[in-house]
Amino acid sequence: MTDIQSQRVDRPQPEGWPVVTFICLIVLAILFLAPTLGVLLSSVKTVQEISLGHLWSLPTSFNLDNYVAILTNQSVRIYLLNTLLVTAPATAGSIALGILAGYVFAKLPFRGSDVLFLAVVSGMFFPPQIILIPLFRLFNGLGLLDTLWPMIFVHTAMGIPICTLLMRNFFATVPNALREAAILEGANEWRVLVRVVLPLSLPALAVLATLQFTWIWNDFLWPLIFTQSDDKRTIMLGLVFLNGQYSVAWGVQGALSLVASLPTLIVFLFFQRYFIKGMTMGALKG
Amino acid sequence: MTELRLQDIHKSFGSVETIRGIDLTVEAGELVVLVGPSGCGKSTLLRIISGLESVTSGKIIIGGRDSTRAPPAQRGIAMVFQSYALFPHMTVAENISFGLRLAKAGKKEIDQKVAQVADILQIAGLLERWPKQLSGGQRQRVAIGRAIIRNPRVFLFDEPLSNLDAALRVQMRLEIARLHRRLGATMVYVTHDQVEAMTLADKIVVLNAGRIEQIGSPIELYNAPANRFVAQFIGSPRMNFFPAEFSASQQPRELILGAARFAVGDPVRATRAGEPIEAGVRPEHLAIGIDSPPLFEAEIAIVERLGSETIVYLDAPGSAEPVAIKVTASCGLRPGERVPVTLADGVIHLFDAAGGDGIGRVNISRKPN
Amino acid sequence: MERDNRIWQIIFLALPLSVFAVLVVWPLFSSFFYSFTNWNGFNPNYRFVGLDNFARIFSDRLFVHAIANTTIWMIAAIVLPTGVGLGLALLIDSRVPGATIFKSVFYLPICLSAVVVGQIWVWIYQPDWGLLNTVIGVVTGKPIHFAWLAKPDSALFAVIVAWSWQQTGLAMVIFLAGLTAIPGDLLEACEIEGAKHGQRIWFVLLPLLRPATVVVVALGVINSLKGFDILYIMTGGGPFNSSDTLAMHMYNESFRKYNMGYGSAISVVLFVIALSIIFVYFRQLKRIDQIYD
Repeated sequence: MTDIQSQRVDRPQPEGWPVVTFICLIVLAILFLAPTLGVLLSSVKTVQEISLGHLWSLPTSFNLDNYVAILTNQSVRIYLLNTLLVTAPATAGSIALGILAGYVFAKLPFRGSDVLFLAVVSGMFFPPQIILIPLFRLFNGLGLLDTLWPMIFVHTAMGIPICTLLMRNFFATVPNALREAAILEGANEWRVLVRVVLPLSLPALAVLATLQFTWIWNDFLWPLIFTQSDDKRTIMLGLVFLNGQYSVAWGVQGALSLVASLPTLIVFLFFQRYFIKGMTMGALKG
Repeated sequence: MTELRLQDIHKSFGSVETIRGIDLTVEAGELVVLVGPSGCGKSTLLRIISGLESVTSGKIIIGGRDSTRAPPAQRGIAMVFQSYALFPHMTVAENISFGLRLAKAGKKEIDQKVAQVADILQIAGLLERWPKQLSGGQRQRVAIGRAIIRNPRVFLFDEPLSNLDAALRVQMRLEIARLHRRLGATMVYVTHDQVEAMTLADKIVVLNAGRIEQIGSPIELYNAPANRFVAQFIGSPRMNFFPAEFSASQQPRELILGAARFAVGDPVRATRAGEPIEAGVRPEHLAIGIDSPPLFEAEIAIVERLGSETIVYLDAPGSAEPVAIKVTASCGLRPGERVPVTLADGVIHLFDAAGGDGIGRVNISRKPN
Repeated sequence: MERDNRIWQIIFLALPLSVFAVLVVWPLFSSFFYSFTNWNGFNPNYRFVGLDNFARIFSDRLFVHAIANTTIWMIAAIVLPTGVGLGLALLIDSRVPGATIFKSVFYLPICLSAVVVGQIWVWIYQPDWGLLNTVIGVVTGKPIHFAWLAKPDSALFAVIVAWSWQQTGLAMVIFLAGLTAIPGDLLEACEIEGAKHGQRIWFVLLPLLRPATVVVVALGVINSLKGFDILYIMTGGGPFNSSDTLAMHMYNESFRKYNMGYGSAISVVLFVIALSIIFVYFRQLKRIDQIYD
């Protein structure tokens, strides 16, 4: 009975709607893909092809020179490495902190915890410009400007709202009975969290990891503020800088854009479900 | 006058055939109940009648018109869902009048009809409320109201009482029965609860694995089940089954059941000698005691005292499941006692042990010793 | 048990809350503080100037212009990605073949960095060989070389369109989640009552999508407030500050002109705007909760 219920009606609709719908979608899909396709196509063209004004047409040959130029560029390697060095710890850190806070709000509430929770979550909604200056001063004073540390710390901190929100919402769906049973067996809260609740939370963790990784990897503002020298740049900052250098080498720029986006593209393709779940879980339940 | 006719309906989902050739006739004003175990296809059949599900082959004729390919809205049916399917963003009045508003009926006509329906169902005071504010029973009535206002040829009910708690279920059952009498409407009702089926139906259709096992009135099904499936499905506690055999293939012959023998009359179908048969006896047709020759002896496992009646379960030899016997409430039997089991006045139903087909039945009245 | 709970609450919350407090909350208050000073970012000597910065704000033509632009962006956010996202969701939801692929296509831009998005659209808007002008030339038969990003009138809108390209996928995904959350039997009841396609959308789908709509609009508006990266890449706020938003103006004042006190004042204004939006958002959520199950 149940799976018949959840099945949508599958009779052909006599008005011919599916055809119209499909055509609309194809047209829109092409429109939406065009920008990205353009970059992809340009990246496999030679300089001659492009300068002949053929940036947007199908390539006559499949040329990987641009990619070679990018991948052998020492700076690009440094940028990618820096980005990784920032993204990995910050992702892990913000998720870890989100787990701790989310657990309390979900399982160990206290008077006023709802308000506190809202306060933390609302941090998600504020433009980072608001705390730009004081953070600049803070890290300047600590002598950490022009290192990777400020970015790691700030991304960890700024990730706390969304991580807390999603983890708390997820933990709330874990039955209290599980926690109580474990406590009766003699476990303390830490054990409950690590041994009972966390193993059940892998989907939520996947969601968060996807979201945070993408967000931090793609970030531009904090690297812009906190770094100066070339060897501390992250890839997005480096992208802007190098594109300035490669001024009319469009093909190389296209290749660079793609290389810079590759990690998040791969994450997106493989973890799409988690991406979408993440966006909607936080949004609809919030 | 036949309101609904299903002709040789077949339905497959992919390679799985769920409905395997169903023929059914529903007369005007009848309340027909489709009943059967989970997965028997009763809900699918209802959805096919409604048009929410298409048929793979077969014909559906509603009110004399071939509605096999017609969309649900044009079949002259209305459906009450198990989950009520009330629109949460509309008031009760808006929910009921939804179909009329879609058809762009006039406001006065809508108000009048809604008031009429609300009156029948006694929900006039709830018209401006939101579904969220209603109790289960009230929501059910709104769902029924939405169906009534369509003035359909056939009402379809999809397990409407399954989501209610036990007490409410009894109450709503009575209301539906009353409603049926008042409206004189043709209704097709799906349930897995055989008590609902027995109490509500004019006609019961017992379904099993996509096929009809038997169609008949509740009493017919109870007293004369056509096969073993219907026999064990209808009636609570379930009928008891015992292996038995005939003394010979032709008349005159006797039925050998346990340690007793019974004369078998003509209506009982002829069988080959030694062919295994099953004898089915309802719990109220067995007794504990030494009045008549005992069928067998068995140990009492459980005694269930329900107040109005007592049911004794015994572990009997040759029977995989406990034998259930209804006894008078005041008996002092206790678990662990070993007692003789005999037949009381009643019927022995005979079935072919291999296929389950009904062979016939033997009436028993207690012979004076 | 209660007292044990208290201990664990403290242990678990200690690290997250302190990190949050040090790196988010305290800087927030510092911003307020700096907005009352004339600090230039480096000189340890600065003094209080009271409300001077705020007074200056309202006579600052650039600021007024930036607020106007920010407002335009927010309105565009309510209309453009929301409308297109809703349309896409409705189209995809009607069981077309390849729904998953379509979903991915529209959602893909989300995983791109604002820098890459900006880059792509700079190329689209390129006056001589950009895709937009090329297509217009082909369609109308008359080649044009309009410099979308270099003209003050069109610069901001060009950026907003690019931003919407990315934001639409997010709106679509949230609407799709809202649509799939609608119980199947409600739609079957619709069918039985004889609702035509358009009637179904108008009477049932749209009203039931109200919670999702609130979320989409709120997210859109918030993200438009935050929209700095893409603006920086595409126009830098130009030409001649014509496409400045509050966020860009704040950055210019703080990190280009080193008026950090003034910049802080601008960020306070940003804060107030964001706060009011959040307030309205939470209130709407609560009101919706009361009606829907």
